Amino acid sequence: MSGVRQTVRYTEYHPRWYRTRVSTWWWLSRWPYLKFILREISSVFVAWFVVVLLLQIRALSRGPQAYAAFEHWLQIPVIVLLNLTAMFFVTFHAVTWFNLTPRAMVVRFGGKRVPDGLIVGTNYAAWAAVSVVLAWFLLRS
Amino acid sequence: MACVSINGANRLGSNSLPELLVFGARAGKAAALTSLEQKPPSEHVIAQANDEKRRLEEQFLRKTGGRERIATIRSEMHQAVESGAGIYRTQDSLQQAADKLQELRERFRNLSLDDHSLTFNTELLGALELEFMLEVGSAIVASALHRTESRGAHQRTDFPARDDRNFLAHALIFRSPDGSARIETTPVVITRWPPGERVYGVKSEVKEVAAR
Amino acid sequence: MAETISVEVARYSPERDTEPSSQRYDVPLHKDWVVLDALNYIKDKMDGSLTFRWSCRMGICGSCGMMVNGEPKLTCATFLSDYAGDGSPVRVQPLRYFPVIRDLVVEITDFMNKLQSVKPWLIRGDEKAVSEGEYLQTPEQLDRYKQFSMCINCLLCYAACPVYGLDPVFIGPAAIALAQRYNMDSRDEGAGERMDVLAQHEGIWGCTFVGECTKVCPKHVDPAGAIQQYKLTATIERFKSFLMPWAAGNSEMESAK
Repeated sequence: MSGVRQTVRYTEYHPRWYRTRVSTWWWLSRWPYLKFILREISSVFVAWFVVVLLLQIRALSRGPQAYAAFEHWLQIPVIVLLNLTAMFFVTFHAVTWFNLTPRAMVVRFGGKRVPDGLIVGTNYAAWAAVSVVLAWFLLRS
Repeated sequence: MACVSINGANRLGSNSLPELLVFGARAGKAAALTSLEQKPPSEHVIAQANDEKRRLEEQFLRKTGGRERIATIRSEMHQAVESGAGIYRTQDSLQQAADKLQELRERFRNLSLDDHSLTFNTELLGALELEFMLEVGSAIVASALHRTESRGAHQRTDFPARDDRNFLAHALIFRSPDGSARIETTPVVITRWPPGERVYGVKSEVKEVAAR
Repeated sequence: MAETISVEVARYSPERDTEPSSQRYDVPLHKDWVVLDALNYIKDKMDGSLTFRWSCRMGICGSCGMMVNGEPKLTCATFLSDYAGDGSPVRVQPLRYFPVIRDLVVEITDFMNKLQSVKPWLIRGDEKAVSEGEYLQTPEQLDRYKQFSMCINCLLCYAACPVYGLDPVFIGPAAIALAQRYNMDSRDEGAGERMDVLAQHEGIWGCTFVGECTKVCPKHVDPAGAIQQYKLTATIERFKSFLMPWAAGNSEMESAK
């Protein structure tokens, strides 16, 4: 993008511009920045849940013994702790993104912009509905 | 000052903005192109530029010992022009403003700058602007003194009537060798719309009926 | 003697200093004074060498943006009294992430070039003759882009954007929001032309949706929203051109109006 990048030319009257350097710890300076970095990090935990799911499917396909071993593995304190942390981050991920959706999606209905609250609300409602269906599946026995 | 007269006359804000943005940009481009086509400046022009550079350095950048501040002179100028040459003016108020501006122009020579830098020197800019404003202000006051009538935003309470016989004319101000203002006039060329009396209320209705 | 407040101003003289320092001034604390009033008071009465940009004093010109206690602010709309009370000085610094020319003045050519690169003007495929009249627009059509048209180029959003700070090739919030202002305009036909600049890594895809640009915007432009909305448009457009290469270029963008 060379057309946009500025070409610095020093003249007699602009002998030296001072350039600040961005600190490595810039994201610690303000809570919104920290929140943003946490949201970015949450993707690692989303990936971790995918890995767990894949391991579960593999155990399932290898028969009851393998599945029992998988369930045993899930009970190791370190894994429990890891999954709890992951649960926290995935929830954080979902909540922060849900709250941001009305900014990315402008929905118009009958010529008027649908209010932000309604878009966010719909997200949460859908989330709740899917959770209820899953809970019913898992707990009906 | 430019008056491109986009809508027939000049008006601050809405009209001068397109003048600045459109005609200012065109003037700038044209000046740049013209300068490319010109022969290198003559020694005479270079000497003139060097004189001005020396003046700026001596009067502002390298000067020490001055005692006046820009802000003081500027606010006294605001005060003088506002009260002496506002919408309602008289011989007395204008004369007072003229005297005050003369005093300020003398005091301006005793100006002192804190900023002697060549990088983004806004104080030097402020001084140059103030010098121009003092000169323009003096020109405004001189032409208002000369115009012994009332017209538009120029309301002389000592001369409330409009006087088309003597003053249907643009005032042109020249700087005399001694620095004072010399006034000449040039007649207004009337094309489609002859100027009429600006009246309001019942008077305007009467005028409309008369026009029919 | 009236109440006073300390203002700690960043000073940098390229002719003298290798890095900025700060200087403290005590100025009167009037209830109706903004930070810019304090700076002008200093310049008028105390130190004529203090250098900063300002013009309209009413949040229109966008030239007095600075960092006030670490936050990007229009100094003409930031009241001193909001910082009084705890005894600590108000810190005024040049806009973050831009090179400093002097004191509080930053170099903005980079932004000016970027702004131009997104072609922020009405582009028409076929220009109507003047005699054919105006391009009409309904209030609803105006409503689609009006918010983005409020931008005053004050650059507070750039000073709030860590992406721009870390990688200055990013086109940045205001330029993209202004591109969107024209993309969403029913009279404009230039969305396709702007896409080359916008839908690249240094364009919308550089944005990681920190969202601070929108929070600091004094005109409620919501550049973060503009960028995310454009991401959606660009993605749909990409899929369309992949699935239906025969379809016209900017149908999605046109229908969005």
